[in-house]
Amino acid sequence: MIAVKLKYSSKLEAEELMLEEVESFLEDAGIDFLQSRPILVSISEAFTNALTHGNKKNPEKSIQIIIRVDVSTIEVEVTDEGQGAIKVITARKPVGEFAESGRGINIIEHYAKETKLSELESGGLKVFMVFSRSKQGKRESQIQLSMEDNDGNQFE
Amino acid sequence: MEINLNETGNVTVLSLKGRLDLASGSALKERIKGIFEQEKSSVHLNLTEVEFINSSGLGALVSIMKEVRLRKGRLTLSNLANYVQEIFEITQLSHIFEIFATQEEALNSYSTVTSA
Repeated sequence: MIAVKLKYSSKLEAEELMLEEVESFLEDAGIDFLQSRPILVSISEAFTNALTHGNKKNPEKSIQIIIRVDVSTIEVEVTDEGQGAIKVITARKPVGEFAESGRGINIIEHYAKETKLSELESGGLKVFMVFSRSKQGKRESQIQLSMEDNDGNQFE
Repeated sequence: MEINLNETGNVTVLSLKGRLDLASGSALKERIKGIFEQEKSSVHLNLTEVEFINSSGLGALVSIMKEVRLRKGRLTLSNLANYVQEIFEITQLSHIFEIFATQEEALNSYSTVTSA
């Protein structure tokens, strides 16, 4: 398994660097260009949500991305340091065709074979996604909601 | 993202290169705003060299399209890679944009509309 942990300040300019570094890591991990597109765009969507809904573009708050590449799967965690983003995302309604935002989670759900949103005890949101290396595309996308502390222990 | 601009008849053609995301989407909107200020409202975007688009980039295109429609103009897209076209389809935006396989077909359609 190959893994990486990346951390970014919540500034708009950070997205470009993040995309470069994630793309570079995926390439080094043996994920070819076409296979990396769905993964890259899904990570980008989670990153944008963390930036805008989670950390409210506060540059003092960070976004962490962990990527683990295995023989058959790619697992990704995107975590923010904000408050209550999970409520914003789960309360979303279908957007009108001329809406300029609100489509990110739909894209993630299409590409990831598993998606899990968790609220950390600190209030931050963790988006966990699993992608298949062999075939991209939606399998049984299971959206799970849970509360967990920073050590990953679940609580009521 | 790089934006190369040229005029073909009454159509302003922008060839985009790189990633269309939050930051570059804002830059594209600003660039097109400048075109609108010159009283031009027919815009064609060539996406041959767009290697990545996310929902923020799509949001920028939707914003541009709404502005074009307000001005009773026209916005066309062409040369989308399969993985870019797929993003439009996943988000059900492929039916609200005029998407052509090639720039030539797109520009020819402006002549057809004009002469109709």
